[in-house]
Amino acid sequence: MKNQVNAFLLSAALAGLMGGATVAAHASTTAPSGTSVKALKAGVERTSMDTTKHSCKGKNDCKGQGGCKSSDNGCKGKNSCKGKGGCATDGSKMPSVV
Amino acid sequence: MTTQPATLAEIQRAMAAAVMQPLTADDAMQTVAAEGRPMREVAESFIAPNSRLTAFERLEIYNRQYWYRVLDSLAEDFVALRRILGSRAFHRLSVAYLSSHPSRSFTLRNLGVRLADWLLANPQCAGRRHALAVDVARIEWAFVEAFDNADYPPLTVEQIATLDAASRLALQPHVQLLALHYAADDLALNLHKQEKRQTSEAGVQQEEVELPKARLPKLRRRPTWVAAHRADNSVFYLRLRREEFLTLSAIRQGLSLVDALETGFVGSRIPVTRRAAFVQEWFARWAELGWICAPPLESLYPDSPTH
Repeated sequence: MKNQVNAFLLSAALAGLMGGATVAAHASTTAPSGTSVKALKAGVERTSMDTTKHSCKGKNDCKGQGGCKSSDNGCKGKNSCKGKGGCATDGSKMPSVV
Repeated sequence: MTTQPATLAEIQRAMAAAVMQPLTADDAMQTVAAEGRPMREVAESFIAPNSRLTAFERLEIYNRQYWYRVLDSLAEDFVALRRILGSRAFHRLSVAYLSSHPSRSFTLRNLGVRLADWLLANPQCAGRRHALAVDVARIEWAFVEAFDNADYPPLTVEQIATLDAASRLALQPHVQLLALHYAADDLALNLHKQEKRQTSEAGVQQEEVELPKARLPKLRRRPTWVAAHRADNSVFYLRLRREEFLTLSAIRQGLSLVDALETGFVGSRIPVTRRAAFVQEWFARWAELGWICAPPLESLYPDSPTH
């Protein structure tokens, strides 16, 4: 009995896999609304975060990536704010504009 | 008696220990090092003063930068947890966590890898909302994993045609399976939306503003199973049934297909007659989402010689 139940489940699993893979292989990548067919079944999307800033992590230089704000506080946590005016790491003051 | 000059490794260790020592409440460097020596003496042992700053002050810059950087990075990855605890409690939690688990990786991406487990073992850091906070920490860490973990080619129709009861499958590394005490996924998503809205309304995020604890809807404990995963370069959270979660977990553990199915239905209330329909639906969805892939060869043949 148990083996029979397992055989049913196994058949169902394999049929499901085959069906899903076939759909994935033949589905057009984008639905008419512009949303991908895959995304429609994927669940709830997390509000996109600032991925540029995220990917800055672990790199030494965030210049031009949008991760380094030029305010004093914005320099926090970023290694290279050089030339942005916010970080005076040697204790010196910003040179005044002549 | 002449003293031997410190080796580079010794200087690096001393510098790292000083830099990773938590700041005072005023964001200054502590005056006593971890090993009990005055920090001034430690700084002077390997840093020369310049015309404007003492050795202590020069070292303090690095000490501050380290903490500002890791605290900001952690806050960025755990937005909802910060809202649930309030910014002051989150700051205390972050300092305690990072003192136990300082940055050890070349990338700050890995900074929060132990936060949920650490929080589980340190309930005093989260107060009355401890179980919820652990759930939310798991959800937020799952985002990081789902965001950039690997994505292997999914099983093809041809590969599926060769499967049998003894076959072992694998899950995409970006698929993160979560068993939660609360329906905390909805809560975390709402808090992320709020945070994003507030940030965009404010134009620039006011990082120094103290946030009180967020007002939360009444949440009742309810076992919840969720998969965080990546599709089309976005991260999604998908609710799972308990049996679905258990089957996926068993597949991830490397059980054979038939054993994974049996494990999935242990203690299940789904009537036996309806199980096949559920299984077919789940496997179809997983295949459509590309979650199922072939296990790495070394896991199939662990005893084979490596070259």
